[in-house]
This record gives sequence, structure tokens and C-alpha cells, in this order.
Amino acid sequence: MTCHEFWDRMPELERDPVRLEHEHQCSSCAALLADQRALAAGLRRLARESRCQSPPVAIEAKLLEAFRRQIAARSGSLARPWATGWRVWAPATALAIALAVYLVGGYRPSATGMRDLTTPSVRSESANNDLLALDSDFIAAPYASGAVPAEDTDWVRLEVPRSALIALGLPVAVDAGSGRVEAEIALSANGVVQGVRLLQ
Amino acid sequence: MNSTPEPDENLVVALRSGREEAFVALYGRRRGAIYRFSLHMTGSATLAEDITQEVFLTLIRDRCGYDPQRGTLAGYLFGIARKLVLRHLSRNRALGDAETNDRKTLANFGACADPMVDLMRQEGIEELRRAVLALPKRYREVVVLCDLEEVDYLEAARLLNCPIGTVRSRLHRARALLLEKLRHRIEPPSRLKVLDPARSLI
Repeated sequence: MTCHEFWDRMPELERDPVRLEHEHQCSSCAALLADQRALAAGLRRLARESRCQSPPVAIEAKLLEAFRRQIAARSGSLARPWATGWRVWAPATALAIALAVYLVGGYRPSATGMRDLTTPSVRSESANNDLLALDSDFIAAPYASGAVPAEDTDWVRLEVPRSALIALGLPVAVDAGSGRVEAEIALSANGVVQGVRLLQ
Repeated sequence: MNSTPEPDENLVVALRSGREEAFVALYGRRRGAIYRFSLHMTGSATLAEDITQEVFLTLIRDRCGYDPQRGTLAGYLFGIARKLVLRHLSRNRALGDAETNDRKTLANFGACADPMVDLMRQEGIEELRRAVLALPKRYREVVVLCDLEEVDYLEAARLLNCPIGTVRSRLHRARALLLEKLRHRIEPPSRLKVLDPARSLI
């Protein structure tokens, strides 16, 4: 057996007595083989010593938080408000307050969009008894300073039961269905609700 | 009482349906291998932590592309980790830094009658760790996967996207390079510039 054949058939020869014969005959192959065995043993030891290495616990905590956020986002923002944190229920509460203020003020939004609740006016189109009449209108909160700067505003989209809108006195057609209505809450950079916009 | 561990694939299904304990079980089972792979490849614990976090975030995401028909979860996770590692290596040229450090270490290493015997000592293991880190990345990844993480050749071939023969030959070459690096420890520093196997392969 030549050296070339020896190394070519090395894996098969690992437990073969033929290997021993060549090893005895060729000192350079024997030395190289011994080195390889030492390296293999070293790698096994390195692997064994590395087994105890693992990422810090903080990573698991971060991942769990991300997992919970993901599940909460997937299951719908109003499905379990008590479990989804302030990011969901705070805007929802703000929406209800804004709608209540809107009703108390006797104010109807106009087709021109955003406006202050302190200057009530009646919009002619509001006679329509469905949500289309409110589409794309922005109802500013009474404490908000007029127009909301777009670059500093976060919009949070929510779903509100149609029945809740009816209960609040909004002009929603009773026969328009019993589903949910989408609404957007404008939050300023410091988290204060600036107003609400009902979507179709 | 013996309980068979839940297969990864079942845990992924449970994870997708929102079961937190499934995620905890999967993370507990796979975090070590992913972290160690990243650590051996980059030589940085901070990077390894970041990569581990990113790998499992990918698994959590709704559009996670894991398909049990195409391979194991371990292979999928290693694949993501590998992409992140390679992205980092190409961006920061960490390989070059590691090689420079390695040459300094080798130059300072004292003479030893038989460097292979030294592999049984703690310093020898540290030296081996550095030698692995100084391998060119295509050789380093097969050593880390097959020798250190005991991924089988077929799985390694799948996640490296190459034939199994290539895995074998790279592994063979990688081990030869490691031996050369470890042997160079007893040679004078001036000869290291001439005999630089890692550089000659790039």
C-alpha cells in the first residue's frame, strides 16, 4: 500500500489492521496520523468545553417579550385588552373619551377635515345616516392645539364595535351591520391623544 | 418515568399557534448551538449574542420561512446564523483581524517539543480555538459545524448549499491547515511570513 492509497482510504481504514501495517512501514504517515488524532482529540475537547457556553438570560427575556408582542398583535388589539398592555387600551379609552366629548359638544366634523371641537358647526352631509358621512374626518381633542403636526404624530389604528358608536350617539345606521368600525387615534410625540378619525 | 422530547417540528407548530412554552422549549434546545456557532465564527461574544437573538426573532416572526419538508429546524437556524455571520465578516473584515491576532499569538508562543501534545493542555485548547478562528471562513464553518457542533455531513452540505463531497474535502483541508498553524508555533516568527497557509488560500 502506498502513502497515497493509505490517505485516500483513510476513513475506511480507521479500524482496519491494514492501516497498522502501513503505519509501521511508513514513519511519516505514522507521524501525520498521530498529529491528526491529536487534533481530533483537541477538537473534541474544545467542543466539550464549549458546551457550557450559552447566551445570557437577558436574551431569552427579550425574545419572550418579542414573542408576546407578536402574539398580542396577531390576536387583535381589542380581543384581549387586559393582556395587551397600555399601548392598546390607552388609545381605546382615549377614543371613547374623544367621542364622548364630541357628542357633549354637539359638534359634527366637516368635510374639510381636521378642526377644533371648541368651534362647533354642523355639516350638511352629516344628515347621511351612515359612517360614510364621517369618513376621513378628523376630530381633534378639546385640549389639542388645533392642527396636528404630521411628523410628530403616531397613528394607532383600532377597531370599535359599531354598537359602541351607536351607544355613544354617533349617526350610525342601525341596519348597517353589527361588525366593527376602524378608527385611528393620533398620538403626539409624548403620547397624548390629539384626536380621532373614523374610517369606513 | 421517561418522556420523549417533543420533536422540533411539533414545537414549531405549537409556537406558531401562540404557545409560549413551545418557544421556551425550542429556544432552550437550540440556543447553545447557535450561540457557539456564532462565537466560534466571529470570536466575539457580543456579536454571538446579537446573532442568536436575531436568529430566534426570525423564528418568531409570522413570515418565518421554515419548512419541515426542506430540512431540520437546527439546519434552518444554523443557516440564518451563518448568513448573519457572513454578513458581519464581509462588513467588518473580522477575519483579517483574527488572522493578525493569530500571527501575533503564534509569534509570541514559546517553543514546545511537541505542539500536538500541548493540545491536551488548557493553553493548547485556547491555541486551537484561536487557530480555528483564524481559518478562512469556508474552512472555519465546516470545522465549527462538523467537528465542534457535530452536525452531520449531509446536513452541513444542505445548509452550506454545496455537495457533501465539498464538505468532506473542505474539512480535510481545514484540519490540515489547523495542523500547519499549530506546528508553526515552534518556528521562528520570521518564517511565519513565508509559511502562511491561511493567506495562500484566499
